[in-house]
Amino acid sequence: MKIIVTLDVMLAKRKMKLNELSQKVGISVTNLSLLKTGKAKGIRFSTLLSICEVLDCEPGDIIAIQKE
Amino acid sequence: MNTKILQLAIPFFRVIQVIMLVFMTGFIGVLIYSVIDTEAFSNVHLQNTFRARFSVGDFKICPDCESPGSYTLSQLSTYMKLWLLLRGIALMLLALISLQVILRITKSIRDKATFYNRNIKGFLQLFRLGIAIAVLSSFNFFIQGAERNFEFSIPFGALAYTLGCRLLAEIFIEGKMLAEDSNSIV
Repeated sequence: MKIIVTLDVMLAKRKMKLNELSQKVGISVTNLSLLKTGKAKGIRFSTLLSICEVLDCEPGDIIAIQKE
Repeated sequence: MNTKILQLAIPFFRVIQVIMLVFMTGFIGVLIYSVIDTEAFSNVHLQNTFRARFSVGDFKICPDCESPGSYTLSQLSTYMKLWLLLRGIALMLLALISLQVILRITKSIRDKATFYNRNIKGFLQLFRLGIAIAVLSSFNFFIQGAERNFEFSIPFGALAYTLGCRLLAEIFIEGKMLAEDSNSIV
């Protein structure tokens, strides 16, 4: 089992680009890109809260557990 | 981080470097001159010069003093002077290179580039230099006419320093991993 980030799915649902999210959340595109591609090792609660506020979603909508 | 201490440490290391360079130049000059003119420096007494330790010995300018185990520079054979010169240059060069590496690491920490690869490499370099210093300062000998003396001792100070450098390298490796982990949390 591993944790996967489904930020791209949520962005597609909200019809939002990564650049726009970056500006609204105040996190660099590089860091958001790391998060989106699953290269980030973790996410701070404050970052998660900001993303959820902008995308109007729950943490579970952008983070999921993938069974192997 | 206390940058005041770091700011003070850098000029302090530079002053030590300059003192060592001046001492090294004088040491080489005196010994080379004493090889050319064997009668020169008859009033320079060498004390503890052929003991196994991290030192080139004590040089004492004293026209009349005579003490057991002490020789004047003019009494030594050319071979012993050359040994003294080579050992002294090697020890001082190793100490100077070590000081240069310590200075580089201190500057890097001052510039807040602490847990970086170049600092880890620096501590590993200090470890290797420390081993060389420990080996070189663990033995010494004196052969002059019928007098033959070989001394060996375990250089605990140099070994402790070497071990300390290796431990610091390990700490910096761990620090680098933690810094990378911290940076990869969005």
